[in-house]
Amino acid sequence: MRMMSDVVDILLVEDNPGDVRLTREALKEAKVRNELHVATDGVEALAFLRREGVHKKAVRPSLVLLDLNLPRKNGREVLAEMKEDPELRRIPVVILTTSQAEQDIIKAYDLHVNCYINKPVDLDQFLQVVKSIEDFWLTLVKLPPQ
Amino acid sequence: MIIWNRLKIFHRILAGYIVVLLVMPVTGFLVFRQVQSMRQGFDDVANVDITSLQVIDDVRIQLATEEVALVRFVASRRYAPKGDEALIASYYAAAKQISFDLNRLEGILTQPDASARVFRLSDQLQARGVDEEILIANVRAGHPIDITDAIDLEASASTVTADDLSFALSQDTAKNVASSHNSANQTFAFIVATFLFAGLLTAVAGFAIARSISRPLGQLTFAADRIASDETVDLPDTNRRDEIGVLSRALGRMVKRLQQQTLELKRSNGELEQFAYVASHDLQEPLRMVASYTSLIKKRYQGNLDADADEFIGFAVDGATRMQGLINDLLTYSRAGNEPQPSEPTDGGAALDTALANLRQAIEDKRAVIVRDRLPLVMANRLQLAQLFQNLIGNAIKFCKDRRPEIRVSAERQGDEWVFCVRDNGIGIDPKYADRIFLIFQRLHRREEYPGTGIGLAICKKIVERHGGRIWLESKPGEGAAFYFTFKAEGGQQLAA
Repeated sequence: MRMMSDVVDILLVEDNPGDVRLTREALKEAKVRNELHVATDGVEALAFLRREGVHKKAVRPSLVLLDLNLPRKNGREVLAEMKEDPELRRIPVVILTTSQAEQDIIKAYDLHVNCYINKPVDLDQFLQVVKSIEDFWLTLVKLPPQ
Repeated sequence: MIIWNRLKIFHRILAGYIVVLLVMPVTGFLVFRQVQSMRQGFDDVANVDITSLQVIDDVRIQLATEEVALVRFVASRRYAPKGDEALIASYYAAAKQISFDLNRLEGILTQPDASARVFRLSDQLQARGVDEEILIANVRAGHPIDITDAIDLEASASTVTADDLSFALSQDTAKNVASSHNSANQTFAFIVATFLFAGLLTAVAGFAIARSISRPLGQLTFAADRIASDETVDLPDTNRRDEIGVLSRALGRMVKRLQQQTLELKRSNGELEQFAYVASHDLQEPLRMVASYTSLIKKRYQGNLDADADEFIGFAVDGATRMQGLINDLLTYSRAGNEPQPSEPTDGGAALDTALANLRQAIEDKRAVIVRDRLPLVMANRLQLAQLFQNLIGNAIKFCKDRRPEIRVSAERQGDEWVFCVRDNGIGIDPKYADRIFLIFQRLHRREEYPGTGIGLAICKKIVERHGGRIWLESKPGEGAAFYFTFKAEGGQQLAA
């Protein structure tokens, strides 16, 4: 079990500010103290993870929440590059998307995603999903040491 | 043969008929000539041989008459010293007749041999005639005459010559009759041979024409059939100059046009589906924002504002939620039947099992009774067939008021397809809506009465039609409904899903 005082860093890769805000609202109610970092496209997400440019001092997140449809570099490309990078491949990636297309799901697991979750359309269900992610990935799961 | 193949069918048939038409008069002419020569032979026998025989017979009769008359004339001196003139008159009549007959013979006879005999006979008779005149003159003058002189005179060589002539002529006749008979046999053989040859020629021409038409037509049909079963085949004989070539080129143009249209249709269909998918997918994003944030407002501020605000927020949330439902259904509809999985032999019973498992909650809630026949193997996508059963049975359970739903699922073979039937005891449907209910978002009841967006049957129709089948309805209000749909039987011709 993680110490309650620990702050867990989460990277949310999401271009829709509405979703960012909703996620932030949902995580406010989380039991685990967390810090939500946001990248609004794939290129920025990878820069953040690799601590390039303005993200020189960025922390390495414990969990990445990744949308599939992103500007510049989409979620699949980010996922593929992360899983090919020995530095980044251990970070759990949760795909959080509205896409229910079968080929998107298959492709994501082919690229070694850690789990694939559909963004529910209903607010209460969305809050529930974020809570489940927190319960599972931030509480239950033993993450690799930093 | 090269020229033959370059001719048009029309000209080939014409050429065949011309050959036959030419052969017919030539054959007729040859036969006519043969028959003509045969008839000439018979005519010769009839006109020359028979007549000359008759004439020579007459000559012989007249010779006998002459002899008798002359001998009796000599003998008549016993009672008429200068002879009986009446008897000598009959002698002259016979002599005159003989001379007439011999002239006639000379005119008729064509064979030089027989003519020579006639001349000899004529000469002999002329010589004898001189002796006879002397004899007659002596009788008239009353000179003593021995009767044997007259008999010797008459028995002279001329009688023998007449007999010879008669014999020779009858020989000739026999020969000519035999030769005519021979000629008749030849004519018969010639006619048979000619007709055999003409028949053979006609048969060969007919066969060549028939084959030159039927063979390329067969090849064309074969190619067209293969194209119909979606193979890429070049049509044969497109370079031919005849009607086959014209037909083949026309077929080629038709095939090209159809392929273009098919491609166009596929493209526009694909675009439409893509449009529906993209539209519903992209519409969902902003809608999710509206729904989420109106819900968040409701969650956080309900009761903190006035009653109007609460009601307005309620409508906004309800509208957004409903629209989400519609868009979700649209998405489902645009996906239905578009999965790339092909049709394969699928157990209808297994598909029904899946559907019933998905509907377990609804079946338990309404205590529905499902009666099912043994269902056949059909050519279908398993998931889609299950979806179809699920939608129909789900409707049957839903649209059943105040009674326990009883649903019967059956199938009946009709030709190379199976007709499935899902029958219920629900509220039924007015037949005038039988077509409308299969359209997307068409509802017959208020949402408060029966929930739903009106997508289920539209999806059913799409699935069935994607499999090349039909779906229809038989119902009366208040008496339940029976939905029928068809699928190709396993082993039947497979249609793309």
